[in-house]
Amino acid sequence: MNSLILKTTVRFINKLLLLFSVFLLLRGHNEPGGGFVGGLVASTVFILYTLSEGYKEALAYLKVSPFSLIIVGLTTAILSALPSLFLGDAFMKAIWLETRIPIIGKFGTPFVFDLGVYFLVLGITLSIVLSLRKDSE
Amino acid sequence: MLIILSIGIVVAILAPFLVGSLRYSKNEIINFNLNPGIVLSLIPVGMFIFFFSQIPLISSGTIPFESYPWIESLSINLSFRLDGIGLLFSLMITGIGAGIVLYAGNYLNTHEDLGKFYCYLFLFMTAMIGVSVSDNFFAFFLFWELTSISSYLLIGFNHKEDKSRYSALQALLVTGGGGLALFAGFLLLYTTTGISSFSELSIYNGTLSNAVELSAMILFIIGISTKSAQMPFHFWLPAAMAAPTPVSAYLHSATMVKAGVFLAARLNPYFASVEYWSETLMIIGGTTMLIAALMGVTQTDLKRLLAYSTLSVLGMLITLIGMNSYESLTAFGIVVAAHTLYKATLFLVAGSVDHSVHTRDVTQLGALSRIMPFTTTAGALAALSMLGVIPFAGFLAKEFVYESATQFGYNTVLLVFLFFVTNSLLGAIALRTGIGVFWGKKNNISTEHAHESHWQIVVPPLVFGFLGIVLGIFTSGTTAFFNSVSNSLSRSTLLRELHLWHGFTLILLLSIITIVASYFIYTTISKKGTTPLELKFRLLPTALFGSFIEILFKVAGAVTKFFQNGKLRWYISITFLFAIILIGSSLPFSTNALTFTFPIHVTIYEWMLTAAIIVALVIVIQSNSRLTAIAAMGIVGYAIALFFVLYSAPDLALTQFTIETLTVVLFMFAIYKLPKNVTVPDRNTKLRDASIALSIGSIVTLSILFATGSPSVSELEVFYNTRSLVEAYGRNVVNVIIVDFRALDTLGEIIVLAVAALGIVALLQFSKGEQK
Repeated sequence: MNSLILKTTVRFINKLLLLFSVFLLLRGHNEPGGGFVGGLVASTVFILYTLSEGYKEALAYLKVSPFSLIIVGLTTAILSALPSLFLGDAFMKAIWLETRIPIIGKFGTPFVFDLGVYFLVLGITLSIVLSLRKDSE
Repeated sequence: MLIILSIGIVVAILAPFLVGSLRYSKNEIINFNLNPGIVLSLIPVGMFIFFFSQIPLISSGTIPFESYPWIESLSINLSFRLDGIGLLFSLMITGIGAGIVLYAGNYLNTHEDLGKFYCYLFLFMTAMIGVSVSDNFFAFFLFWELTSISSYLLIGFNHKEDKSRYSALQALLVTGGGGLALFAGFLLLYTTTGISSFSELSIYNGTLSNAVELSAMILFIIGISTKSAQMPFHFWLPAAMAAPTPVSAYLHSATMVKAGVFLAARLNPYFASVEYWSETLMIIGGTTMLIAALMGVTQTDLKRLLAYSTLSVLGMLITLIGMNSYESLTAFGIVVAAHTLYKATLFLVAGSVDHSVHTRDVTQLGALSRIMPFTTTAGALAALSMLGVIPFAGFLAKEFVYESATQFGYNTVLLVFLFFVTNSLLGAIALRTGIGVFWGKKNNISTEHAHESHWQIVVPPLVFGFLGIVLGIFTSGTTAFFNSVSNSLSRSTLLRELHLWHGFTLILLLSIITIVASYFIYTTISKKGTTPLELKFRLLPTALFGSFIEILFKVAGAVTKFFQNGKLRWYISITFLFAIILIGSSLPFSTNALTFTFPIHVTIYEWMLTAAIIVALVIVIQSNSRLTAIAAMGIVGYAIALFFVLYSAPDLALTQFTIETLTVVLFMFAIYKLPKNVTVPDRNTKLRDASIALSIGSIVTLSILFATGSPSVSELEVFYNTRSLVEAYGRNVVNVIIVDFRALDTLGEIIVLAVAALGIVALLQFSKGEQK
């Protein structure tokens, strides 16, 4: 697709959307949002980029392969389930830090889990979309 | 014993690396080529020494016991118990195992998969030790299945040959099927009595109902007969000779096939008092030993000759357990020991001959005694033991077999006759395999390249062969040990002095006549030659098995073709149809009340959204263009998302909006791969699809109405609302449920998602590759 309007818009909106996805991820625990929808919004950034610039450019813009995002996401999610085991608790029991961290707020394993979901959803959506797009270009 | 088993598993895992490093790191400085077989055989030797050191303890009547909890709520524990028979089997497994490991190191020296071979072999060895020492039913079953699996891998070791793969599959299906029957039997016993171990069972005094007893007995006998290849499940064993010779020697003569016999022995203390148990065993065992010996003696392939004689001896062992007398149970232990020693030797000798002369046809082989003196010695020792010549262990075994037959209360003549015929035929097999090959007349075979085998191939059979004499001569020293073996087979305590020489009795006369008869059969066959008898007898079970497998594949193929014909529309229809049937049939039994509150208050926004959905749906159905249909579907999705907004579910709405957008985008990308226009379906198809769609819609609506009528829904609401902030520090209940309360579900879901993504990408790549 070769549209100047789209290209220009995407250039400006991309960073905002990415920021918005992180915002959704961070507020998820208290307000509507979370890792799943955050990951979906983040993936729209790259899908828009694919539409305006092309498949290869989008892959370069992403810098890592979608597959590694899936791996990172899944590993993060699984790792977040383990600390409780070392404390002698049940698998996946949530563990929270007492002190609050700036920007993130209350920090604990559920947040890490949500972060894993974010990356996983991003990776999955992009791996499907990009491999579909790869053929049509 | 847990330590021994753990060592076995660890060695199995490390073996391939060891073989790899010994093979490929040619050390130039030391220039010493260490064969992996030598290193690895130290492990079973060590285990053998451990078990050997237990002999005095076990012989004195002590039974070491150890137990580790595993799944206690289901009575599944790793409990081990080393009694007489367990020790006998452990000694055989580790002792013969050591020889096999050493032997295979040279026999398969150049084979590329030697590492894998050792991995499977040690897995098998561990599993087999586990079978021998497990007391808990379920631990026993675990190891039992592991022997089937490792045996499958070993039989199919030459996996590039069709025949190997088929034989391996056949063995796995037969023994695995028997394993399932065994498991069912254990479960039946456990659920009806609460017994979960052999030691509890052997002293169990309660009564079982006839039905339970009979079904358990049938299930166990299926397990026993499949594993020990009793008729009519015998056919897999001769076929399993497709395995490399060390495997045949180890699994299919010395150890694994005896697992079934071992199970019969383990169950005997309780089941001996169960009606028909002993009779059934005697009938199955007796038939097998006679027919297998008849089929065996006419074979021409060394390994097949030995395979059938193994079948026959297994039948004899089953018969001895079935007889359940003072003498027969004593005979059992001695026959097991003697048979293991001579049969493993003969197999290894056969392998050595095959390795050297490259044929196993006994009608071709002959006059090898000068070329292969050590192999010849080993073969002769084993053959004499099998023939039952004094002072070999085989002589003792035969004496005891005859004694138990003559002392048996009823059908004495029949039993003696049966044993006599079987023993004579087995003796003839011994002469053909252990004597004829080496001293018989030389036939049209080139022995130019024949040579004595490597010491690693010659030493194990020589040692086993000599042990046959040692066991025979020092019989009286083993009295206590063999008594502890027979005591594990029975509730009553048996004490019996063992001597090699019983004096000039009727039994000795029988033994002598047997040897003469064997020689007579042997010379007749050598002169006239034979055609293998197996064809007539083997035909039925093998053919039945073959057609069973064929039908299984056909049915599976038809089912797959029906449900997965490659058309997405069909998949969706099938999924919906099943959902309709399953959910629809359960709805009438719902305990929840249907909650309808009339009049339903509908706002103007809701009317507008509904109208939008209906219009969009009409467009979807009427449209001839995919693009239009997809865009219209997007409208439906957005309208539903707006409904979520109206009902104050911002989380759902947010997600729904993004998902809808992405779905439309995905469709747009995918549309390049599809034909532009939709093919217009005919009237009937439309009607069918419409009715499926309407039904699934109504079913979903109804089930939601039923679900919201449940009181537990409001309880859950209260639960999550009150706990969310307090316990999980989150005000967004939906998110807290996803990442905290029900995080395990989410973990499962994201794993599924990841796998699905991999699948989709792989499919897309695949179709691309195909087009090229």
